[in-house]
Amino acid sequence: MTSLKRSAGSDPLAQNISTKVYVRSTKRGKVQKIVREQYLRTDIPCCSKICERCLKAVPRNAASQPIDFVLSDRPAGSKDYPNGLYLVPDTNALLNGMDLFEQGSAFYDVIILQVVLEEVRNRSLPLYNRLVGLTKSEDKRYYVFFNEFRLETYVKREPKESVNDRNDRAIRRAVKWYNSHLAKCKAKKIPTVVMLTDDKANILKAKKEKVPAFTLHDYVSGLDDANRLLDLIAISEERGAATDKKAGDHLYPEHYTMSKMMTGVKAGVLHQGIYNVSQYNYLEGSIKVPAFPKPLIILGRENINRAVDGDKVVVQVLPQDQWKSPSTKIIEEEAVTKNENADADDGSDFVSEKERKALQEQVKKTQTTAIKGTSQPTAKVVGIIQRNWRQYVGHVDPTSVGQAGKQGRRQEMVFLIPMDKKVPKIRLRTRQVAELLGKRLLVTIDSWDSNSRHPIGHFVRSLGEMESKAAETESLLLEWDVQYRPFPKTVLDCLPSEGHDWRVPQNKEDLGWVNRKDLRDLLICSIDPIGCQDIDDALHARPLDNGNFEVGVHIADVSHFVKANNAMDTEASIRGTTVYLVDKRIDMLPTLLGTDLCSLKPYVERFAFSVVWEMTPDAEVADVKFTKSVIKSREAFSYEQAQLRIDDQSQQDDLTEGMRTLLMLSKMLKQKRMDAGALSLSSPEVKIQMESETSDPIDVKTKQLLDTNSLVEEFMLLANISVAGKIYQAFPQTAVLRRHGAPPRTNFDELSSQLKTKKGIELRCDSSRALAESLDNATDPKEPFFNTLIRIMATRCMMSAEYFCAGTQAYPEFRHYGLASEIYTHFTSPIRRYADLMAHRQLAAAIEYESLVPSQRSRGRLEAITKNLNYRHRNAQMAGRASIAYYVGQALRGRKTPAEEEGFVLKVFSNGFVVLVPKFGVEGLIRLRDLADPEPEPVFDPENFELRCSGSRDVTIALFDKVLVRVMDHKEEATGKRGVRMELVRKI
Amino acid sequence: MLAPAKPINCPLASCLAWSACPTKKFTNCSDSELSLFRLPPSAPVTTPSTDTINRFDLYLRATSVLDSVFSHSPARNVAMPLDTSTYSMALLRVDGRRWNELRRLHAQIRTQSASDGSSYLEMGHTKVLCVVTGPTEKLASQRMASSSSSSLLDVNISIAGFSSVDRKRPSRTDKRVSEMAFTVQQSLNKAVHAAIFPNSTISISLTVLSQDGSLLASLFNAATLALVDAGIPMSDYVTACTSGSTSSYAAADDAADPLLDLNRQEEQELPFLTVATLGGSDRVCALVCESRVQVSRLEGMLAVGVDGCKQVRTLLDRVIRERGAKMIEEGAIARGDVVGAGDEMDTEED
Repeated sequence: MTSLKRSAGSDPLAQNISTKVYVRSTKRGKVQKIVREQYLRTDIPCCSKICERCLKAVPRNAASQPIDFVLSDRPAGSKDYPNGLYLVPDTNALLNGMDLFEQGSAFYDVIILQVVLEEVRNRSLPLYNRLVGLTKSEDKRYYVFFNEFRLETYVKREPKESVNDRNDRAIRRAVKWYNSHLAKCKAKKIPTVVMLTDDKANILKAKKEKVPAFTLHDYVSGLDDANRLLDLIAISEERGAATDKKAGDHLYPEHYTMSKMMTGVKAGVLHQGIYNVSQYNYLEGSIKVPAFPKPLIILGRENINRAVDGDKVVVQVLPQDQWKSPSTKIIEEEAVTKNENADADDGSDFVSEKERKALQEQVKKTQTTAIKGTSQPTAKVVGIIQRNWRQYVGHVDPTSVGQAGKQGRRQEMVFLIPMDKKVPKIRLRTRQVAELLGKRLLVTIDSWDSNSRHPIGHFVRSLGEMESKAAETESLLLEWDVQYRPFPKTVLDCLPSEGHDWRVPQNKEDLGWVNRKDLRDLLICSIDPIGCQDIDDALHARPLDNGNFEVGVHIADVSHFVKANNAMDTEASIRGTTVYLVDKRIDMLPTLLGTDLCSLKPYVERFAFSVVWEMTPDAEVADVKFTKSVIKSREAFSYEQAQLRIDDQSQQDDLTEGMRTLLMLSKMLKQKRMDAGALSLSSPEVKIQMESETSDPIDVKTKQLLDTNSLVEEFMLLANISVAGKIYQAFPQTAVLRRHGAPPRTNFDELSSQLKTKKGIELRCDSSRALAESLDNATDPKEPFFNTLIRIMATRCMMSAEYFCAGTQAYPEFRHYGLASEIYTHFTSPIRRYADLMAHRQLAAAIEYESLVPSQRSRGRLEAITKNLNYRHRNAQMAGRASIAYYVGQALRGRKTPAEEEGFVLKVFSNGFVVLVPKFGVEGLIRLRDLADPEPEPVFDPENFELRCSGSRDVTIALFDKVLVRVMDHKEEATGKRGVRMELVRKI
Repeated sequence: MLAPAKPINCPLASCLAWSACPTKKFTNCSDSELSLFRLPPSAPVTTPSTDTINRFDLYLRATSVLDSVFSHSPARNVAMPLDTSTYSMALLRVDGRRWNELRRLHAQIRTQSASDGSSYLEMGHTKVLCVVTGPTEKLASQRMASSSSSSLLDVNISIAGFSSVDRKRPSRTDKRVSEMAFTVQQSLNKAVHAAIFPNSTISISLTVLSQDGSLLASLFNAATLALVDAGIPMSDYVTACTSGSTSSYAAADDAADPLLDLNRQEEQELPFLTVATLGGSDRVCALVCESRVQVSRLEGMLAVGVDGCKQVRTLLDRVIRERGAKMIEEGAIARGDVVGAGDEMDTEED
């Protein structure tokens, strides 16, 4: 027998190969030992432009393209280092100061080591993604140096050395190597490579080994603009620890470890879900968990245990004697915790006296009702699986600022009040209080320790003066995560080179005409709101010889211009949708396409994607065809113009006749849809009238609906349904569809009991049809608006519709509840929605016009896109509403006398009620203390949804009551928050 | 061993399927040699609706059995050193290699003196032992069984339970293993001068000690070495390696680079193929691709793979020659013209 074992020295390549061995445990608890080879090499370049040796041996890819040398030959220096500095941050420096590194004024020429990149990735994925973004940006000059693969910088872990120590040693070794490597360059000025760290021990070791190093703090202090930059550093644990109390002094219960939570969830003892804060009470939240049909309630600061709205948390159900009913009281954070001192954030009164009182009263009340069995299970948060922290917009609470801070430059803790009421106050350490007061600020939360009452965050940037239009608009875009930056050059490069001069090719041999039908002779027109520039759709109808009608819907052929997977397509898929604000439109596609080349403008030829039906006179579809086409719209009507033209009997031309046919058919279609059980829901929609020149809002009007609105809507619905069927047939796994789930019965519990007690109306919700019927019957002969009110409230009980990939759901789940359609998609607005663009591509492939690129057929990728679309869609709606609310406020502000308007009571609490004013589409809260001073004595009757006040003011407010309120714009002096405020004039 | 390969770029990178490549770079082998390169069989794993397959995709699979050796491992989302997607940052792969570098290849022959021929081969951490017995007379039962196909070689693969991360009980009926054995047998049959050995059989036993990607390629290389050691006349070395692509099918990244010699981690994430060629020529004698890959990338992958096979041949040839020289030194064989003459790559006498 021969022994195959070789001694390590016999292999000449032995020193070039290392192995990485680590042990991991799988989900099932199995322990695995992973061994990986690691090849150590000497040709990894330093990437500095001054290094001629590395430039000579630059690595190339398969296409022989070399990698770019990013580090500039003349980096910024400092007083002590006039030759310039290359920065090498360690992991903590990046984790605490990512905002610094993203600054435009400093932090160029940075070397990110592979160990650091890996550590950042393990610590925080969002930060890792931002870091990768930085390394990809061309102007920031960030270079990722793969130190673990370079022979000279590879470091083996010593026995008993911790992983962190080994990584720190690797960083120091890399910095040392870099310096000695660059020293051999011939350049005159050789930059120094320095390590940036926040770790004291690391600095000391670096000094000992003579490795140049700075703390992040010291380095930033030496820069211009240091005060602003210093605020951007997150409060790191080390420096925060000095001011905090000794360990063990916890205000909040410690969170469970991840494995304890996972075991608990698996065993069914703990429950996992997304934490939602109540809109009216910041000390109350709810969490929907799969185990129970109704959400669990979480009450009080201690039980909420540092969860912030949207976090993925694990909760434990509390014993039954602690069950409560959801609060009937409004508790607002600013009001309760007003004059807290941000610096003295100690635990002496963890649950402040006022908070305790507010809760106490509530408990008293619920105790009495609890006996009647209305109490609901409550829970407490025991751990947080994933934070949903983002950047928040808000402003500094002026009351939290000390005298010194207003003048001096002393570092101070202040409170930031976020715009989003659901987010708690954030403690902020800053040196520039004076500048920040009265500004809209962008901040992030860094941490929330168990010994700190409020989360700690740091300042990112200032958006501008509060209440200036620019700052408010930007802050609401940020708050709803709308991508509003101008399109980058790579995107604009994808536009046709002809620009606005692009025309449909005259020569029919042109490639653009292949498989395209010439529909230019059809009498097509578009009907849109006034001033619409991005015209997605146009229609036509004409009688056929056999007595049927030919009806066509023509949609802008955006997919002709936006090819899959180019930069423009990627950008559009990220934006997801166009966002409409009152005075601004944030486009999904560059304006050239949206308002010109794709827009189906009148009198010019455009490429379109047409759906053409043959319809019987009873609006039955006899046949449907899909085709790419060229059309020429004869006229672009507004809804009003179209209505006038149809009503004007003197107009007898073919175009008007076609529109009349469309209207006739659309009415039948609508009837059919209603018979099938489609819901007509409602939400308060208003329109802001602007002064044409200054674009200052002057008035608010409710939107009017005309027959022509429903004409367009019906045919768009029909087109969407037809297309959905077609693409599902072609792509049963990957068709992009839209569904609207049936709402669970429990959603309607509250509304139906309210209707029953107050109006004696039965609300049935077993099917959409039953619901539609009972909504039709929910009328009050004396009050025509009552029905709309109920529809608004019913809408809020619904699920939201969502995009999905056909393969992810069973066919019955495709159903669109609101439209009572078995299958549905979005096809008709490709200029402003990305989902429509995907449907276009799939339909084009289904009719074999062109094939789909592979990535459009990968289900995983499509699922990711639809998920993003759902998120963007919801945010776009929210941003739009927030913008309207802001302008309503502005319009009210312009008025000399406060408007007195009719309103309806939507919700009754024990110390206030919510009123909806349909004319402005706003809701407002009226608290008892707003009714009269001193506060009237309330008696709250939750059974009958009534609030009887006596004493200083005698009034009884019940649900659905019609009231007259004074609506005005109001700025709360203490918080600087502006909003609509209402006062009760009288009951009607 | 980290020597860079010279890429072979087809001048017409856009040609649709390599078998129709107008440059005829890879079409100089007969159909029978391409027996493993098949277009979609009737039942791939996913149903071939228009969704999953269209005419632009070559969906290559040898047979539809799979899923036993590799696919059970919970590959993704574990703490990896930077994953394969970071290739674009510095043109480095997960283990620090460049796109065109083989892993360390170590090989020995005559490791078991009791056998007629034997070899031990490591490609990275993939370790394979091979023992050749024969030629011997066919047993009566074998003669009966293989009366129709007169196969000289009998390939037998056993995979040790401890060879992969998860311990796995070796199974006799593993379809995937028998498929690999079949592939090796078919391809080596072409290279061995079978006509010299009528009514004989040569048994090749391969034992996998450790798996870290490119398993099939290692089996080919180890078997070739052992056959050479056993003195079986062959037209040339049959050498194999894998080649892949830097981004997955779904990423649809047009700038994807081809990769040479994938390790296990790369195989789990990226599309790859195994290619075996006959000696220093471009004659492909086995090509197996079980992952989805854009056809536009296939050509580049194949070019790199064929080039890798040539590098492997040089390495194996060196092993054989070193061993031969040592045997002469030790006086085990007499110095002859053949061994001494030999720096010519293409001498076929072994």
